[in-house]
Amino acid sequence: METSDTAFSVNDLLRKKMQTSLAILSLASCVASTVFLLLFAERTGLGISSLVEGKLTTGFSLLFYPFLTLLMVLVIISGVVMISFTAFIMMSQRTRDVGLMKAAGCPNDLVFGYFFTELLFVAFVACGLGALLGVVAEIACSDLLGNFGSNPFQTSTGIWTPVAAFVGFFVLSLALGISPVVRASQAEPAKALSPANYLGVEKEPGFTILSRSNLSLKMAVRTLVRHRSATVRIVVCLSLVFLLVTVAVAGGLIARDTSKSWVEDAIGKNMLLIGQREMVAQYQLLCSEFYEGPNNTDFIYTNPRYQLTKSLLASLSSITGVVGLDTRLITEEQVREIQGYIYGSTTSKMQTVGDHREGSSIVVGVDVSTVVSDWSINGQFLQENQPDQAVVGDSLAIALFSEPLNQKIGIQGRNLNITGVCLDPLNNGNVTYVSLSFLEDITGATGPNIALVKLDPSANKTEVIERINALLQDEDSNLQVYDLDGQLSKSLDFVGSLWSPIMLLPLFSLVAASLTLVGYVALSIDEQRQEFGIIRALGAKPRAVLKIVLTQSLIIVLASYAIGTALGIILTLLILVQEPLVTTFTVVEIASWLLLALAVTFAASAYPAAIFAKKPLLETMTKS
Amino acid sequence: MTEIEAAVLVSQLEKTYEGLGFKVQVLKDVNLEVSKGEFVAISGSSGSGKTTLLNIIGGIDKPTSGKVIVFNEDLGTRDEGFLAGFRCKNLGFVFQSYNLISTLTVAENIAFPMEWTGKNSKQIAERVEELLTLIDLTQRAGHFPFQLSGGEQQRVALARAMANDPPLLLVDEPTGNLDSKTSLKVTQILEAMKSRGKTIIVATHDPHIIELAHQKQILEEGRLIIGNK
Repeated sequence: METSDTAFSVNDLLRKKMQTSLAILSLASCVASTVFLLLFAERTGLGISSLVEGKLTTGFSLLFYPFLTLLMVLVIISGVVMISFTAFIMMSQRTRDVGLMKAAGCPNDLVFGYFFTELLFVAFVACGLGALLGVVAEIACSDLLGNFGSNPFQTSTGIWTPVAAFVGFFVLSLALGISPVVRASQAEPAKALSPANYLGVEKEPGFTILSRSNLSLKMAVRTLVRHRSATVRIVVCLSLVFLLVTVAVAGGLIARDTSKSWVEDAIGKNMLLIGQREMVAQYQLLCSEFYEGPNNTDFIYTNPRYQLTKSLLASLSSITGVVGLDTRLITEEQVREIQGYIYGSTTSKMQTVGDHREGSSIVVGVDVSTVVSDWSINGQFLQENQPDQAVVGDSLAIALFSEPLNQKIGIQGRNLNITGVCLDPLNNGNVTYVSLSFLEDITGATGPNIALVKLDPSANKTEVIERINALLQDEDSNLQVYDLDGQLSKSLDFVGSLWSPIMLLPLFSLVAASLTLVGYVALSIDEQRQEFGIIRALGAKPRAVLKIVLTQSLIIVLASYAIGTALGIILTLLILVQEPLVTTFTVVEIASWLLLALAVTFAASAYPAAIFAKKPLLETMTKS
Repeated sequence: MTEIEAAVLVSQLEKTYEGLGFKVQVLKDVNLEVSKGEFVAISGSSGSGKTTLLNIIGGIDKPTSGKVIVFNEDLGTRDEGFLAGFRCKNLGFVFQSYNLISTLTVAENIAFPMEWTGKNSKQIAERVEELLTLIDLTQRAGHFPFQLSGGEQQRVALARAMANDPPLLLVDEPTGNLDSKTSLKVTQILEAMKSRGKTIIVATHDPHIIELAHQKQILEEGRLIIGNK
């Protein structure tokens, strides 16, 4: 009776239960983890997009979105490489069987038909199972995180991502898995049966360096070198995952700390705000636009009632515990973009940049000599005795200017040179800093309407506030002191809440990497099981076999770790975060997370080895 | 013969393999006594249970019932940790299909069992050289198993079994896959080991090897039939 391709293939797969299960589980775990990461990243991205709508200065967004985009790209590439690797291993293992069938007289097309049907079956089951598991895991995980109140996980994602992932990975598995089948079905039987083929040995290796090394290392290294094609693939695969982990962890932590420091420097720490009650409330609204979105109010900043008297300011600066007094005049003005000139590198001529855009901006007049804030600035801050200068906030710079540092800003018919662009959460970056005297000139105001008081960190804050309150009550009962640390803390929490979902991504990509490594180790053990059985039969204890397998895993994990983390750190520092803030604590935090990632991945790879080491000796000596 | 004198004592040994929907009794009431320095040949048709018997004597497999005492140790009651050390010290195993370790060279394969005994590298190197000379493969020391012929692999397997100078050698079909010329070489090596006073149990059909035996046994359908002694 003639056997159909399908019947043969299904029977063959059922006969090789162990190999088939491992192949399906490995492939399914790759697909599941990739689908999970895609859905998770999509939900995170959507969630964060909705979270920051109308908030977050443009400068912060420019830091944030490349991260999310890069992570998504890395997730997809890692998934593709993982699938490619598993499909390759799965079909390479069958090369010898192909050789045996051909030696028995089976024609090329029939051999190809049998094994392609097997590949089709395994890929379909694994991709279907993987996509389903990925969706279930993501829903369960997001529900859990959503229940904890994390906003990004309370958004919903569509059905099309898992469907597209299933179709994409199924086609990809076939495309990548078919190559070894075609190669084997066209190879001469002798070649397909040769140990040089199924052991991956192409030429006599020379291992003089390892002659004195210990046995486990020697055997592990030689096995890896012999399976160099698979070894390179798993190293590439894990390197990508470690790259993803590093970008997310190191990049995330550095970006989080850097962006937090921007906010902290701009708002200031240990700062008190002093002004008339309405002005203080308005300043709080301006600060909260960063994390709460637009607050449209018609507020007349130039009301003479809001101006602070010189005597009050003098008294404030003499209070014990006050180390800085930054007086500011805040107004809202129409500002205009003034065209500038730049040297065109391609045309070798001066050319105009910019348009004549107009918009409303909060304009802050500062006394340059007493400014206590320390913004992150592209360019430089205002110089003393230079009233024709201005520094614009990042959102205003992007909304209104083409080349802000080569342009001027027009305020009430006066044009000021833009000397810097600062990251400032005030009014969500739609802000212009000018000299106090200039602003007084154009508005007719005769003094500042707020004062920022910087306190000595060692001073007792409550006592200083009490002293200030007493002074204010003597002057005017409508005057108020407000602790800006509350605003700072809210802004920092907001920045932290944006980064925390991203920080979850590496956790899951680590799970994906661990699953892939577990699959690789399981397949590798299965391939070497008879040999490991012989080693034990010759007197080696089970732990000796465990040591060999773990040494193989360790070499793979360490090589991938070195490549992935090095590339990840370079990518983060050189491309993703400009002027990064890297403190000792950040380094320790990053190192701890990355070492944890290494340990988790390695520990996962030990699982199949430990299971194998417990198997009865005779079972390990018998080829599955 | 008392237990003290016997190298191997097998009594009422039964071995049954069970799986889903099948049950095969491979060994039935097998009794065997092998004295120290004795050469035993066990022959029998394929599937008669020769390899299973050697595996059980070597502590690789466990009996379903009965006792297997090797050098006064009841192997059926011992755990894998003990058995590994016991095999390393007392047994040399030559498998039917050579079973050399593909990632190790000829010299390293021979040295392999010595790695677990605490010998230093100089002692190991000397012993490897001695055995390579015995099997006449000095020139192949740095080659990997796949670069050797079947006969050469079998000789390496014999040398590996002798590496720790074990008192008992278990040899499974040593000439089954070899031509007559190579078989003769292997037979000569076994003869040399016999003359050194090793206890040897060989599963074989080779009349030249059977000729060397003090005790000739035939295994038929799981039962041991005494040939002559």
